[in-house]
Amino acid sequence: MNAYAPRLRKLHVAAALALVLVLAACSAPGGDEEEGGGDEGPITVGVIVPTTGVVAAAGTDMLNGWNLYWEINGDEVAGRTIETIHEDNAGDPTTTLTKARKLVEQDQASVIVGTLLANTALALAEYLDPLDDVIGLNPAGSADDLSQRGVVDNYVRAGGWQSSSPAHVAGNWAYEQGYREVITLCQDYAFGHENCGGFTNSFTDRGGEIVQQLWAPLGTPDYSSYLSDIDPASADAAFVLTVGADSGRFVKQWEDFGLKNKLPLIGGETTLEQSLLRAMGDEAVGLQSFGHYAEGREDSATQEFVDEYVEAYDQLPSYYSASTYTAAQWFAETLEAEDGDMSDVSAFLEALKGVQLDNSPFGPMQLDEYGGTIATMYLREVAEDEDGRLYNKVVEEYPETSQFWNYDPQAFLDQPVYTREYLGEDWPESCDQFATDCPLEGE
Amino acid sequence: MATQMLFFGLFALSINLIAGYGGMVTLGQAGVLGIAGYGLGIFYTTYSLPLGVSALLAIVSTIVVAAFFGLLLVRASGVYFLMITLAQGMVVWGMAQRLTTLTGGDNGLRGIARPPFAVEYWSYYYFCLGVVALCVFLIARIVRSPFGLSLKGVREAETRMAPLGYDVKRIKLIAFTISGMFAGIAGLLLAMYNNFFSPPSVYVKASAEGLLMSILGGVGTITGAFVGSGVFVFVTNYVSGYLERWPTLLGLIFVLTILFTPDGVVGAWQRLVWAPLLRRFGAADEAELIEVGVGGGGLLSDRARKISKSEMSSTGASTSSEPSEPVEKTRARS
Amino acid sequence: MSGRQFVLLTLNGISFGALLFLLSSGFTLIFGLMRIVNLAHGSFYLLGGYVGLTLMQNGQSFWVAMIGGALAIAVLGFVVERGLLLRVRGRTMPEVLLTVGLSLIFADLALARWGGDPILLDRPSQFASTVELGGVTYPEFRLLVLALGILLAALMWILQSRTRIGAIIRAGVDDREMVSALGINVNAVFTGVFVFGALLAGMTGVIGGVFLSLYPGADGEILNFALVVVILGGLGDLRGAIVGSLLVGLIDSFGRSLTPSLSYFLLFAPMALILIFRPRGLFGRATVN
Repeated sequence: MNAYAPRLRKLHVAAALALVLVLAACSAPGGDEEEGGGDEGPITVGVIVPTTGVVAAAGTDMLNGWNLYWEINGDEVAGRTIETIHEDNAGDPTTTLTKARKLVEQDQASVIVGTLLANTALALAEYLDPLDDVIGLNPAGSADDLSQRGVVDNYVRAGGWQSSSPAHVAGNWAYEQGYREVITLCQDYAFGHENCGGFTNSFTDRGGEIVQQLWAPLGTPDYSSYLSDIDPASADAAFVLTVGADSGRFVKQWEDFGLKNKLPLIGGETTLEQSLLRAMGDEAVGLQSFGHYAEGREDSATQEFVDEYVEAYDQLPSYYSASTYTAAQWFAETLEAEDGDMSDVSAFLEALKGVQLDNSPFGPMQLDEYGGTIATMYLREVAEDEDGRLYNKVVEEYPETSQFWNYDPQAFLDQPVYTREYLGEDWPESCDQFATDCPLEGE
Repeated sequence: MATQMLFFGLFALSINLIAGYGGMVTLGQAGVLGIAGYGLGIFYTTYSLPLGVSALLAIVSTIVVAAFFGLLLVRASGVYFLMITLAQGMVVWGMAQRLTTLTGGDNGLRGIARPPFAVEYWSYYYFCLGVVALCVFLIARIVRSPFGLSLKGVREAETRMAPLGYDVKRIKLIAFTISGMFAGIAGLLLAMYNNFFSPPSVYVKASAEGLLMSILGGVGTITGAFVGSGVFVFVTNYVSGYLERWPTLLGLIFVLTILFTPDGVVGAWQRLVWAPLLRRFGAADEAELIEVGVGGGGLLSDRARKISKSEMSSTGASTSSEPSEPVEKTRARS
Repeated sequence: MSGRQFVLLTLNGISFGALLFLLSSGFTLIFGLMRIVNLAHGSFYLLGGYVGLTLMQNGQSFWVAMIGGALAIAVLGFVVERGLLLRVRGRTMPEVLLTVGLSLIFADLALARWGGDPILLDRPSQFASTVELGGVTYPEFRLLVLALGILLAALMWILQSRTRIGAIIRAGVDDREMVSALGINVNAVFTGVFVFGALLAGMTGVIGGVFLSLYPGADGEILNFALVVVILGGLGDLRGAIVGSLLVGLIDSFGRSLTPSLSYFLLFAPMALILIFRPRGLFGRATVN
């Protein structure tokens, strides 16, 4: 072997090392002193939503909703231009973090909007927590604990919601309808647990009984095996929470197996959500569900939003679309109130949390002291509009529903978050644990 | 981003160790990585053990699991090996998702801290750099050791190794376990990077991505793993901001690599740039080693080099592409 | 468990099994003959379904959509095999990895063209209602799928054991070199088999679109099932595909109902066990590399 070779090899190694250091330098975090949004110049907003992957449809709706707001209202508020940068997190937590870092450190974003799936939202919350100059808006990540037991101060539910909120209302309503024995079927992961938990908790408080508890893993191809388990004679109603593609399959099979006319169905927010109704047919018409959004709500705030959305995207807006639209509205209102000044981030956060939105597509919305949403819950029913499109019309409204329902916040927080094992069946035990309207009969 | 390139590179390197040097392609490495990541999360957050202790326990768990998986794998090879690793990885994923009280289910585990001296972005980067550099050094030593050579022997001609006195099963098992350990270290770095760990990091897609990085860069080389992770992280995190169809781009790069330069970027570099350079400077024999493909050739390209290109395209599979297969088949039958 | 429930679960299991068979038969054939684990098979399925969707959106019936989906993917299969796989013929790993890369591309392109909303295709009007069977109300469409599965199984069986091409394929599975030595154009046979597998996948996609719905991720999910089927049944064997599909369908059906949280393991456990103790599957060949 020649004498030159070792030298060349050393050169090779040195070059590699140099490359490593250069790379490191290139992806270095940006400027160190960042005063958040400052008080002049454009505001960079990073929108992190899943536009690829399994929830791509919902993520795209979220992006559309956000963009629509600025298209209609112009992207300037109180003299400051809003510049949006969209990043796709493909529904993955690691990617969410990378994108968040990139947006904050390289693009100088002072506001981050997102994200959808609970684990990505929790990851984002974790990232935002120590940053004192970035504000996070969470319009769709509905994991209960983000405004209960795991609050991150600068990750705000602007236009957001909690998974269990509509379900609490549903449980109570079910009892009022005269149902005493109900079957529950929810997807077997955190979102499903929180939904079934909410329903079970309030329903059992009144004295109702859950006669059957079914859990379907996300991505169940065939609900018939669960439906075969449901004997219409054994219960008064069924509360069902399905997500995404599962909803389409479930609703179809609900009709196929003859249950539609034999057992009343109480759907959860995502069981009969607009984004899924788009692909459904007659099997969905007439079915009821509970949610914090109804595209058929006959209020100008909602209808104008719906009309504009239809014009821009040729489909009815889902709650995902409404969530980011409202987040934009929320943010714009705060910015206006603060005269465009974001330099005092904690003051801005205070203002943000103090917003009381009257005219969002969801209806009136505000936050409680934990950052949880107080908003109207809706009993909705699927109907067909004159263009043959399915939509949710409002049957009943439940304004000012708190994330704690009628429970005392502290007592509620002392309990664990809803999981498969804890659904609130035996809680509360006494009226002390209620803040109002104690339904328990002298225990 | 660079930090990611480091620990994903380590992950790809662990795959390289068994796929490239050992000829055993795996689609379950993310499962192994997951044991470490979750281990750290569980010991640290649920049991509140100190970070160092948690990390150590996590690695030990990973080694144990990797050895267990390896035991199940020793008799398999080729496609069947691939399938078993796939199943193993998915079992880990399934458990991560279902054992909610332990792993947090889909929500994952939050609050995984970094070592106190490596909390900031920069300090964490240097920490990872140090850890990864150490691992690379160790792996390089392993590869050049007698063990490493016997591993390559297993890749090249498994059936001939046994008569020569090599305990093939043991070699494979050790290789798999070692590779698992390094995957575990990568898992620790990932968990601490995100301060978080959840099921998607363990899904088959993550294993496939690791394999992708390994092959892109050059399976069978050490630098290849980092080149591959570099390209992958770059496209996923940077390009994705500009190109909506970035997964297509990634897929395309991958397909083109397999078609035209199966030994990856580093392999191409070695053949097209390094070898001529060596020749130019008089190290002809070393250059020849590269061209013939004995050095870090790897699983994919060896056979390609044994056949001339013209033979490949004209008659397809029938004549010359598998010179050793009929021979090995006869042996298998007898 | 009531008798009614048992009947329902069984019917679900075998009809889902039939769907899986429609997909896995092509998959196992491709492996048996060409030793290629076509990990893009799930993408073929999904794309076929989407093509069917477009046809149905343009007023075509389910049947036309099904044929259209089948043909479209057959063409795609041809292009993939001739254009790409041929170049890496003979090298197992590159072949497999190539299909992985392709599946990434196909999945993303499908997302670009058809979006992310899950879509359930409409049933054909001739099979849109239900029948009473064993005390249970059961959708006709699922029985149709079952019938199609049985039909295909019978067809392939006859093809395999009674025709010349079947003989060639069986011989090729056993010993490729011999077959080419006998002067048969192995390349043509390979391409034919691949195209046939793709055709079946495309057709199954449209059926699956009615049965399960189409959405990003459906390709991976169905591929998972197909993998379990062929591992259980043995790669390359028709009987294996039949038995494997039935087993997986039934395990999935009963498992989800009886132990929903473990339903996942119920599938992977037998697969893992088989891989450890009898890697060639229930009916696989002994000569494996």
